[in-house]
Amino acid sequence: MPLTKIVKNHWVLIAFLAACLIYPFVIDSRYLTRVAMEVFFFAAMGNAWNIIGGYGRQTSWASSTFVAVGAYTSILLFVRYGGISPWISIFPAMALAAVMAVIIGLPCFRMRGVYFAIATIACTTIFRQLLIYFADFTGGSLGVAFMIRRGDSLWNLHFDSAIPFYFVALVWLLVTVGIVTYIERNRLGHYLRAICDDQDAAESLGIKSSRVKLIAFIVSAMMLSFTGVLYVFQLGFVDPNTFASHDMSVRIAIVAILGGMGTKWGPTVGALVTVPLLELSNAYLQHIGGGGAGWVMYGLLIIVIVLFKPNGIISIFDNFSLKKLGGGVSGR
Amino acid sequence: MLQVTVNGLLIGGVYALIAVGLTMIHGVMKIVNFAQGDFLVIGLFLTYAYYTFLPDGALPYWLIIPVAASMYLIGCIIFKLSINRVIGQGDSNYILLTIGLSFVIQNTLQLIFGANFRSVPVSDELRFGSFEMFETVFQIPRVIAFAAAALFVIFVNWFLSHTDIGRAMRATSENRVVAESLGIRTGRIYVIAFAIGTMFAGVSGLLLSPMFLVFPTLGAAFSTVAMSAIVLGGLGNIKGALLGGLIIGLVESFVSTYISVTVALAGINFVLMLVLIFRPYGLLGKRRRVA
Repeated sequence: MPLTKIVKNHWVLIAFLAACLIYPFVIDSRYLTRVAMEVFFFAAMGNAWNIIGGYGRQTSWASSTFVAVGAYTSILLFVRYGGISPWISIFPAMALAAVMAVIIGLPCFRMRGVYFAIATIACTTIFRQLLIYFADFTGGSLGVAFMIRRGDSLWNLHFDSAIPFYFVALVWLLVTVGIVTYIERNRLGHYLRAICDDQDAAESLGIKSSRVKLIAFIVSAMMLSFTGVLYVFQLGFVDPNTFASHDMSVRIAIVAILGGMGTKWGPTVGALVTVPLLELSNAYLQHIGGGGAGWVMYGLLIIVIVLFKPNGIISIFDNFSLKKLGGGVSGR
Repeated sequence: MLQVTVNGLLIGGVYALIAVGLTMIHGVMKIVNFAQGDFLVIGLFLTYAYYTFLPDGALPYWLIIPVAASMYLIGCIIFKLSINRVIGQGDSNYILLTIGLSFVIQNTLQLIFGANFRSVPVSDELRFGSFEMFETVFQIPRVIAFAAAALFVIFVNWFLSHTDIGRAMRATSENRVVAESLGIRTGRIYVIAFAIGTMFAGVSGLLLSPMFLVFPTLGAAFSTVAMSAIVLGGLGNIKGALLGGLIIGLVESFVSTYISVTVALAGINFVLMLVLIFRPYGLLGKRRRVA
């Protein structure tokens, strides 16, 4: 394919990437770079959720458990066991998340619809309470924090400036988009969509729905765990209320649902809208009435989009053809 | 042992009342309201606000009619503005909508009242009152809450089987199209069912006001408990909600006494998971084709 055609077909993506590349240098603000990083992390987690929640329509509220598994594994290995690098602890973290996904998935996938949703909430609640209960190992409700570290080290994921970590997060976001694209085009994606349309019909065609869902759930959990590792090394601490809470699961799912479930770029769009809204309004409106204003806007945004754009923000772009703007439409 | 059981059953009665409200909504329009706990908190704050008009040390239970009426009205408004657009549109839409509502309610309350812990200034005789029977202590606010909850549940059962609106509700719940063709205005039935569900949450808030501190984020715990109760008992089944509420009260009481208060919620959810593993549609629920 000639270069001009690639540019013509993917100009939105290219513009987005270019904007991401120059953003931290143009904006030159540690805080705003961190907000953008938050966007990337939530977009990546939304992508992971999208595999099981979007393509498979199994509205899972267990995401925070897997993020917490990643975060706790890596930070405990780093702080308690002599500074094991996050790039190594990512493997036990993902393995534990996979085990966790099987433990949660086996009973939960026997249920459907709202039973499934509430069963996943139950599992997350159990996990969070156990984290708080076994305080000797996990630090209880206070969690675990890093000691102050200085210097740059990619191996230990620590940088004095926010910019290197920004690019680590960006790369991971693009990797998750790649994984989702791969799944979308392959057998797992087709199976998931068949189950989402009509589970009974899919089973009658020989698709083992509980197995397919479990595999998708495991992949999703491992991606969430990976993101959890990166996220905790960026934040510098872990505690049950930030990482393992129901609110965390909700925020992850909302990124994907608002952006557009079962679409490749939906979670990224969703994160680009919701995360800055929440971050910035919490930062600038925090003195109004105990800091609730940002969350009120967040809630209203959710309501408005569910009522008027039930297929997500990304569906806004379905209606107007890029041809009218002189741009090329992909897929030809 | 007996004491633990009594405590569990008394609080379970209130959980059952919240769960019955949730069941009213789910039974008629197949929506699980994730903001039910926040409606309860609205009820608590209304009690707190209205209580200032009462003389010092009056019983908060006098407020039951104004609180119930206000909650009914709030339920109608919220239904007309938002909920009626997502009925029958699949699970994720209403889940998301009611979660959005829960964010808005929690934080609007925080904007109005601040994040501080408050308490309804009832008299100490009510707050700490208790009597002893069969070597067991009965705390008065809990007994009153249980009795009121029981009355409400009996009333709902009577209402559903002996009034025209109640019968119309059951018909709508069975099959909306047929109900409509029989001349039932199902749209109105939806409003009434949702408003009654909201009202029950608000009344539960009032009943709990002598025992609990009032603050905006209290609702999340109650939402979880109420949803666990209705799923445990089997969705869309008043008896199931009742049973679920009582079981959850008992489990909470036993776990916090014999293991630790920190894992009480985990205990509830563990029992819920156990039940769902063996009966995926709840204790009294029936299997039906969802897809």
